[in-house]
Amino acid sequence: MQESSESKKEGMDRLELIALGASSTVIVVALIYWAIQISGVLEMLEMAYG
Amino acid sequence: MELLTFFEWAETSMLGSIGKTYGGVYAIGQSLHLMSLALLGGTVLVTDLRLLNVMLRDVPSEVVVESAHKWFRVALIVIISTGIFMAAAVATRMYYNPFYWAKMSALLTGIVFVFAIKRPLLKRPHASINPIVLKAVAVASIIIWFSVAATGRWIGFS
Repeated sequence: MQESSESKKEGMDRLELIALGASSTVIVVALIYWAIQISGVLEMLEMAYG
Repeated sequence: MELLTFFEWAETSMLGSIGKTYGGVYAIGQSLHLMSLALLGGTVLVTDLRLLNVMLRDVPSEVVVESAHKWFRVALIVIISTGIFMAAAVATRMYYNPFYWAKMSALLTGIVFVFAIKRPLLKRPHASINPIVLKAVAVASIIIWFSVAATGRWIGFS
């Protein structure tokens, strides 16, 4: 608990910053990738069924 | 070009020939692959939903993470072994399938993410880690392994 409050006081350390950066990148890239895939499927469905 | 040569060689190798010739052996490999994917998905969901405070809130997250990680490693080894066997049988087709490469990219991202970022971070007492970081890591982890599973299934439908 003491360590926890110390950490919060000091802010994030290097590993935490790397983890946050990598996680944010993964989330953004995955959202873009799946948005493109889903829009591709919707476009194909529209061409096929109007 | 060299990569294609490797895939062509894999298809004609003993591993590729066994998968192509004996449907029963291929089916066993595929079943093991899917079961280990289910196991891996289970360990990922248990770990990450605990980190998000969604489930198993009465169990310390350190205990959940450590217990699940042992089975995660087992599942990953079986997934990779059976995956190589399955891919060898249809290697040339896999080479030209964009979802195969999407799955490999997601799998590689997942392995690097787990062993280079998530594990070193979660070895610390979780109370000492910034909660925003913990939650971001959990969400990213779920998304990565979802992508591995989804692109993997997409291979079969493309």
